[in-house]
Amino acid sequence: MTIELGKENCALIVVDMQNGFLEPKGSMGQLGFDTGKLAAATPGVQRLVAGARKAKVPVFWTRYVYEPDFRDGGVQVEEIMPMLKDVNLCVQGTWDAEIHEDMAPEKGDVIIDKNRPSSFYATRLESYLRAQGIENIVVCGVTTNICVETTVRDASQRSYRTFVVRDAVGEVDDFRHETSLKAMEYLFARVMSVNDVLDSWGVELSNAA
Amino acid sequence: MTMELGTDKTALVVVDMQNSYCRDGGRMAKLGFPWERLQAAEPGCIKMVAAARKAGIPVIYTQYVYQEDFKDGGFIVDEIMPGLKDVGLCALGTWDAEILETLKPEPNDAVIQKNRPSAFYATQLESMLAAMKIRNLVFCGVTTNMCVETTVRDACQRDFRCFVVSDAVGEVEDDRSEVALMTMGFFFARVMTTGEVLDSWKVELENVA
Repeated sequence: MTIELGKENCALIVVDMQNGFLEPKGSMGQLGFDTGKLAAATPGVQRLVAGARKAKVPVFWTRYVYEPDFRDGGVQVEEIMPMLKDVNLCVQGTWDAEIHEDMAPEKGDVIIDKNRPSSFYATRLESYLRAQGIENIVVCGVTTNICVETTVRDASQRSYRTFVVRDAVGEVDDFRHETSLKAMEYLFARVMSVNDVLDSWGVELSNAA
Repeated sequence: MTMELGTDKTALVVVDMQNSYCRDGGRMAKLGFPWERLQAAEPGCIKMVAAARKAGIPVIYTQYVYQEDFKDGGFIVDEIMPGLKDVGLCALGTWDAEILETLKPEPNDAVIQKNRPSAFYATQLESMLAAMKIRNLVFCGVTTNMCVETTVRDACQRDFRCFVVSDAVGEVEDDRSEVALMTMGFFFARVMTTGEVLDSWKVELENVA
């Protein structure tokens, strides 16, 4: 039995496609992570966003944003990964926190700022989804194993029909990337390709990236 | 810098150590899962509970429970894993849903029932932890990649300092087990052994199971 996706009551969520994660000189790159593996999600994300526009599927962008002094960092910043502070990861108002210029948020898109991996925890996201009668969520962006997966676990538990796009997510480590997709498929989501999603939405892109 | 564990403001959370997952007659076995791999967490959990009692640390059990007709199952049951419904996994009031006899909660232990992987989502856990002024959570139980990890992701985002006991958790697949521990250690928790936790608590057990 396949879990079917359509464009009715559907939303696209683009997770954390920010300079801090995608650019070599961004904060993750400064920490020595291979941002190329994260930027690899870009073409897939671009095609999904273009498809969503055509299918009139609403697009939500999430941004990881910390206060300049990281007083909102909590256990993750203070104790688990204090180096995030050293490189000023995704500090509010900086280039690092901006959505990458290869993406194209439009007027009318909703941008959700968050300071935790899940796009649901302590954000406005769920109220928008409820208000718009969204039942199906397509998730893409970075990183597969951390912010994408935490968001997917939360979406699925809230009984949103949840879809993850294999070739529009990225992770710095291949083993964690593959196993994360496997874990999501196991209990939280259907894993699809960009082409599968576009087909399900009934859209064709004339100039496929 | 290591995240230190002590006994102050600390609770032990024993996740889903139920007949369903850890016994031959359980529904996971019926679905063909290698339940022995989950049962493997039992000695470690027994040890952790004994140590917590000795150190005066509150013990909180979680219990996965569905309505008999699974009307509360949602996307996870209805579409991702319909097999759960077919076998009646952890249905309310059944032997399958009961916590293992060897880990039977004592009268003052808290038992948190849930119908989603996270013990935080739509349960009484967070208000209880706030009331008890708990800041540190030590996790054992099953399964590492599903309910333990989803709960740990949620706990850490809520700024509980999380500690996962690597030899007191269990998962049915090696790759998911390995990546779950790696992921939790990466951004959500400190991964420790039972021996290390006992040392932190300054507890010795004479008759180790």
